[in-house]
Amino acid sequence: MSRQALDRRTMLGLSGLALGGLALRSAWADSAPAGPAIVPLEGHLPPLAFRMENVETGRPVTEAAFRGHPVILYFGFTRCPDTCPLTMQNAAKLVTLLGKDGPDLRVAFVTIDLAYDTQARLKAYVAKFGKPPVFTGLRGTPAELKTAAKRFGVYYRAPTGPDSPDPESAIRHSSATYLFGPDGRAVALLASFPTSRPDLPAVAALIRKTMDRS
Amino acid sequence: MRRVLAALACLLLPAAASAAPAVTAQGGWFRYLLPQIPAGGFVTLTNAGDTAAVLTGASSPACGSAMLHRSLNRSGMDMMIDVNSITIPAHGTFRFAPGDYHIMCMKPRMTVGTTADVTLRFRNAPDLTVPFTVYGADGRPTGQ
Repeated sequence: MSRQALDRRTMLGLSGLALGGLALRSAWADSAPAGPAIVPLEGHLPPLAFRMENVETGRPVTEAAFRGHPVILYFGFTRCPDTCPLTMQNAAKLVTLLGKDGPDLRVAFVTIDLAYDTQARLKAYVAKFGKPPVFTGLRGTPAELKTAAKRFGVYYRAPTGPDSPDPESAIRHSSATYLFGPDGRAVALLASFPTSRPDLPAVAALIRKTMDRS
Repeated sequence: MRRVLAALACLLLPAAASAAPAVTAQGGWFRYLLPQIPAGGFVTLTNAGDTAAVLTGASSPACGSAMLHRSLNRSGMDMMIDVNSITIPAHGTFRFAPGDYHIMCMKPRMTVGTTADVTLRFRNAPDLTVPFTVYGADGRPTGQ
């Protein structure tokens, strides 16, 4: 795909956020974001809603399973060797940092790579970072994934045909990591979460605030 | 080609022998998750020589194939690009780090707690074989 075409699709994918009045970085950026670590989202993103398979149980799950818990929602794929495990490692550190509140958090990893990420593989992957129910792997049908990605302004592209050369480096996805409150409302875009400088104390403080309010 | 470059270097640099890059590696490590999932490798390279060193590739018996990659985030989009070469400046360092440059180990066969050898290939310096410590999902402990 040409860079122009990618940019167009990127803009489409992110238009929901752009309409929300967020300033998104447009230049090549380093691992650590130049902008704020946490971008307030209330009123700019719809509340948490999805229907997918919980890879832990193999059964369908919806947002109802997370009601009453702060939720971190991230779209990634297991073959991603760098930023996805970095993001999940940050989530694991966050749970530790939250102390007694840690077990209340829900970290939902939604795979965008349906061809490779089978239920068993995603389950084994998520288990590397933490135990259910805090860490949950979600796998939708193509339609369910598309619906969720559209709802949350997430772009993804995962060419996984047998002829795809080096599919890992062709897979792209929004790094958007969202925090939803225990009531399901979108709280913030955790812009620095998928980086090597996640500012976890600030994220932990925000999570505690959402828990106090509920 | 290499011979031509060497000949040119001799012509241009009277003290060619002392000007060659002298690369050493520090703190190599892998984040290893599962055999079917590529592992990311990270290392810091230091060049004590008077000439920039150009890293052109990596290989490891523990990786199947290994590639130089860089994670990039553009407009909120995470992507990975292939890197053809990496220059370590004269008397300088280059750091592979999570969320940035990494060595992508395609089919890892390694065990957490052990080391895996990675051979780094340079355009203008001898191969360098470096032991990478294998860590799990938690990555390398901070402060190391």
